[in-house]
Amino acid sequence: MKKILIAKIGLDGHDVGAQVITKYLKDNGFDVRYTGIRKDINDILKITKEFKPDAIGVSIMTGGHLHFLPLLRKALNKEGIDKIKLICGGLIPKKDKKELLKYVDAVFNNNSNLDDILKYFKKCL
Amino acid sequence: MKIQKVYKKWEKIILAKALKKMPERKEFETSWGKKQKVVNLPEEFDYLNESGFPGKFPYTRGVQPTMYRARFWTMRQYAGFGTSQETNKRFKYLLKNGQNGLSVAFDLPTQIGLDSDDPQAKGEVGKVGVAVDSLQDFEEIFEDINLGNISTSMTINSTAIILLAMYIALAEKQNIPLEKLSGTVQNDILKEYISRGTYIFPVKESLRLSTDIIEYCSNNLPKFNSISISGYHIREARANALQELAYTIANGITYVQSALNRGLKIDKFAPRISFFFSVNMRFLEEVAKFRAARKIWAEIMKDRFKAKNPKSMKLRFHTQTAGSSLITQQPLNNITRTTIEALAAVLGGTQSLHTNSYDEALSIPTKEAVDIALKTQQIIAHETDATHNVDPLGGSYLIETLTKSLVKNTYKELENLEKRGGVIKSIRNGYIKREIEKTAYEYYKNMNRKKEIVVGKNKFVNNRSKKSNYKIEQHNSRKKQIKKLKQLKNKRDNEQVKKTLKKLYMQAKNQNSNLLEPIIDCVKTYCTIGEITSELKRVFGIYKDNYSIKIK
Repeated sequence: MKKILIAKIGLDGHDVGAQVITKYLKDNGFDVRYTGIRKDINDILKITKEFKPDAIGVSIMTGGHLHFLPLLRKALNKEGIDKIKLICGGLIPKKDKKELLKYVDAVFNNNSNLDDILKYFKKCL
Repeated sequence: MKIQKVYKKWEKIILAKALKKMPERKEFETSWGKKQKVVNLPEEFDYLNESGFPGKFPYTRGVQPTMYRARFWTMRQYAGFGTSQETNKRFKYLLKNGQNGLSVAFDLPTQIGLDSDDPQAKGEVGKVGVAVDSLQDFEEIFEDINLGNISTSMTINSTAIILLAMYIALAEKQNIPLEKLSGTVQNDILKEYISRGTYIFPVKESLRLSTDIIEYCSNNLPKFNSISISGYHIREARANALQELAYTIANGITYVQSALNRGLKIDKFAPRISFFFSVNMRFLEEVAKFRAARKIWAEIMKDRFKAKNPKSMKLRFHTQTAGSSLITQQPLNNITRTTIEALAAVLGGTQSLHTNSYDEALSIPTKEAVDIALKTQQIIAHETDATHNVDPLGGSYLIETLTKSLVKNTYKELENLEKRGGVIKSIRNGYIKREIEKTAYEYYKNMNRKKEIVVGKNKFVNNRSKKSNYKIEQHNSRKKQIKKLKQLKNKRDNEQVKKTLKKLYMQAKNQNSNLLEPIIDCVKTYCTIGEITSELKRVFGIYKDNYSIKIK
């Protein structure tokens, strides 16, 4: 069973999206873990090493995506975890997508529905 | 009886025929799963006990006898972003444009007790609200605004005691007697564990701080709402109307019990308990929800807590239109959504209202959008007849049925929670969170399979719609705040800072002392939020959420 880690970075507590996606992916055949809210890069690294997911989906709603995702990718690479798929979801303005894709494999925003996200994971994992 | 007889006949002949000819589009049920009839009938009901008159127990129809015939609700738009100067400018703009109450949004570091220079605050300073590190920021936010002339609502919870201390310290500086201060501090920590997430300390210790505020306000700030028990965030996490109502009332009971346990007299503090609800698109349900809330609270205060003062029984509430109903596609349609919701809040008898800006789904609202949002309220107030009568929808067969169903089911859920060991236990073991999550999951699955429709999102999607220009504003306030903090720490009397912090630490260790006064002393010497929070963490520890691993 392929493993996915759903993560919340930063101080924001809005995690309905993260919870729902965790559940939906679980119901559709993935082994999914959710970090809970208010994790920092080090927390996520720690959980990643322990859980060994094939992909990490990060949910960000506050506009901090261009701050956190490059940091996370760098930190993962530094640890030699460079094959992992990194996905970002949340409130991501169109104009940021291109820049963000330099660090992540896919971007989902509030236009995406559950099946878009499921389809992506089924295809790439 | 006669009605029932005729109804049965109608059902059998006229309705059956119609259904055969043209089946209904879908099953109709309320958001809490109650089947909806084609029409509701005048049921027998005990008018005086169920509804009564406005301004009279059980207040189902309203907390005042004349409601908006005397005075409109308070139009209160939530605002605050970037630096204190920017927020000050927006506040002055809102006041100039006829808004009569301020509502301060704080950034996340402020909400969880971190200074702007804390490494964890990186990327968050000034983002979702204004950054406050010390009293100095507060002085700037309210520059040229007389605290004696306005009412201020502060959305702050785990650090509420610090921000309220700053408000009090600022009032003293402005020479305004505390009795004159009017406003609300959210101070509802329980819902933070359930849905909003800005907790710091363990539940019991947090409840102590909330109760400190309730106690202090009841003695010193008679015009200040010491708590705003919030269903809003529970609902925004996609709970249904019943869950919003039941968990909010359950939290309310927990606060009241905590204050009573401390020896406070019910009629001394209960008149200053206020509520905060969401208003959503199913606006008939929402009107019923507000009516039900008033009735349940009045009954609980009177029967269970033996309140005598009618003010203790009156559920007064602020309402915000549902942010979760807004979408980024075709954003102008959000104005329509907000209008419908705002009207429901007014028909439901709200005491104050925030209408969301149409661009709020994507960014801190632009000035233009804020203006439209405020005008939406002014249009309802001045141009419609929604304000001409008290509880205009009362007596509608449907509204009365929905109200009754919500009252009955809320009591059932309260009982269930008590059987499970109460709110605090149900927070710690994740029960409430899981229940909400179930509802949320169903909602999103229904969106996915188009059982639930949102125009422009999963139906009537306009593919050629203009590219949106909205962007999340990037406020780079962190550098400014860090510089300010550095200067502050050089300028202030650091001996005094140490002294007041030490005093706070000692008092925090003493279970019996109220911490608001030592914190007022701290903020007056310009201790920072981070410093004060650190002292409290040393005594209280921090809350560990172990919910996440349990998603099944």
